[in-house]
Amino acid sequence: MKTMFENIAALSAIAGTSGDEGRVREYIYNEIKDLPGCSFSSDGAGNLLVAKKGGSPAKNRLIFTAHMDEVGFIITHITDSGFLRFTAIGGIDTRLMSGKRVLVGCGLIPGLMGSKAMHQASDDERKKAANIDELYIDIGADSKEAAEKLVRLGDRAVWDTDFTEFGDSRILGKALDDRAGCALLMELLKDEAAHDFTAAFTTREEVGGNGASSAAFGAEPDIAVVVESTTAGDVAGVPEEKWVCHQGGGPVVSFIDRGTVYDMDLYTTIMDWAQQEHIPAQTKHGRYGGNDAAHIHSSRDGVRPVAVSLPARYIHAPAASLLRSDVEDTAKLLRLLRDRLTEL
Amino acid sequence: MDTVKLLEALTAPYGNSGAEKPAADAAEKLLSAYGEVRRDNLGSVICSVSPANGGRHVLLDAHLDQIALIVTHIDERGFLAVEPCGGIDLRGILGSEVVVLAKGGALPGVVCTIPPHLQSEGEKENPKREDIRVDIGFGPEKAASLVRLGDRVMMKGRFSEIGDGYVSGPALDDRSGCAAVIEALELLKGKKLTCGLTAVFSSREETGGQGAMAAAFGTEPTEAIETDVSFGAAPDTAEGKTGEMKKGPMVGFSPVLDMDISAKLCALADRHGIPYQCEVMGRSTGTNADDMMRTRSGVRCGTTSIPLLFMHTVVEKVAVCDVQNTGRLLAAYVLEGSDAE
Repeated sequence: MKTMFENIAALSAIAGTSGDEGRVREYIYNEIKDLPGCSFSSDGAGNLLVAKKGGSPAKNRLIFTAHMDEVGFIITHITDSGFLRFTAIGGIDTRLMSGKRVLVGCGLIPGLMGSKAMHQASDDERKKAANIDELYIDIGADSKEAAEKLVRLGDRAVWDTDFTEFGDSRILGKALDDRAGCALLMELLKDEAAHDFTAAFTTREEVGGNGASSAAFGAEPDIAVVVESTTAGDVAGVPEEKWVCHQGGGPVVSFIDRGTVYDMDLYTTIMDWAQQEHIPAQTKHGRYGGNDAAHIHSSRDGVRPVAVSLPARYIHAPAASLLRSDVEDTAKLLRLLRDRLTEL
Repeated sequence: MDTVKLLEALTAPYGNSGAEKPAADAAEKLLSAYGEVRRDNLGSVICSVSPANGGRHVLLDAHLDQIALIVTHIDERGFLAVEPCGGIDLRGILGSEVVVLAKGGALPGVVCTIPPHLQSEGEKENPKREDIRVDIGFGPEKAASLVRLGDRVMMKGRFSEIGDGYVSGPALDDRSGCAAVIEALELLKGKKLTCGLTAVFSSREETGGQGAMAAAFGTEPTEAIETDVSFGAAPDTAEGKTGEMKKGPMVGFSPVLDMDISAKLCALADRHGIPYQCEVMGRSTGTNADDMMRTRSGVRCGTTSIPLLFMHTVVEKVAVCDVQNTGRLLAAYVLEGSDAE
């Protein structure tokens, strides 16, 4: 069986933008299909739901979710000269796009993203962030016909990034938001759980969370723990009060964000548990971001929401980073939640 | 050597302006098949292919250096402040992966991006050069022990073939020019040359052209052909301001160039059926030709530029056939440049 970090590396490499999560789902299923006590189902949204049998039935029905999709691009037009026009799937800063390699379509054809040379751009064009429709992808096709042999409209493109170890025990790769969360859920399924619970690998988080709402409807949980990767703003040029969270601080347990007001009792209880068990944990300093909890907590007659996130630098960029110890501490905290939230 | 392999061998090693050694070592190895090779004081690689005996002496130049960043400061949290060393395209630099060429080996890193929630509302601007920081994932003490001020930070890219007869990767500006010169030398191998011939892979073009200027002074050519890259046509380029990909070398016409050389290059391309296109510039050329033409008592210059897309990014792209056809034209010019109409 692969280790958590081996799974993160493998999942990072898979292309799977919102609505095109099939390859990610297949990888996860193949890795966990022989785990004891697991039964598998999928739903109309393409979620992978895993019901794990624990030592005893759970008092509270508990679901853990992590989303399989990543941000990326979708091909919208092919020009007469064979260049591809595109738009973004999910929120990507256009200032990250120029001069990057992408992989296009199911065949993962290499593509070059950019625009005219900086030397030929006007002062204004150099100063202002590009509008996405000013950029194009070059796949080395000399005509529309040649390009059409390789690419169809609606094909996706993802960052072409190699997973790398870097710095002081850190990792760097694309799609760590939220493939690292997926790997954490896979960990929860590996060993024996105290009580029954469900793990849901969800679709379409980056375009509005439709996958998660379907998963919550199907699983009918009392408590949902959304496992995410969230922005760590502890980078150069950001004052400490704006960091939101930081690397090295352990899992991020939210009390509020732009989509959800979290369950105060659960938030405080989890922070207390973390302290008692000497697991580093932090919260978000401010009301920033949002995740699948926004859709899950209003499902059916309501679900008590919890969000536990990995502090990640440069999410939605070609290469995001995580500190290994934060991932390990998050795995510890999630195991604790798996075995305790069911019995609250 | 196959042209794609040649391009890969030339672009694989790093070589930023003033720190060209790894690229120069690879170039020297390749050039040593064609003549005696030496380095001059500025790090240019000079290959004497045929001696100049007081008559016509042709210099074929392409520049060896590539753009990069240079570490200027390590901040209190271990992030690296950098300055462009050559004209890095700041429109796509945020979030780019980089490689810091530190004394103990290469260190991976990322150019910091400010997270979206901290970005100002309204129109976004590309970063200013003074705001660029590199995250190498180490705290301040470790960062300071690993990285020296002045270390080069290379933008990470990868060489690959792409599409129908193209290659992409960092440093194709101007290693593809170097490849064209080597292709020319290969075509000239075994041919009896009636003129002197020197090939120069010059340093420091991206920071001012001092390498070519010094090499032209040192080698004393009577004429020089500069092979650099120029702007290829793309959906957003203006008509008449670019060369088309796969339509051959762009023969330069400019007040700083020698009119006879420009005309000869076109005539030779016609004579040998080599595709070419004209690149007309109203002022200087923006290449080493501008510097070589004013060395000593003046050197007559021409340019044969290779059309390239995404200049000064790590996804620069050239057509393999354009590199080959540039090599053919250079070889023809060496052989017949004194007698073409």
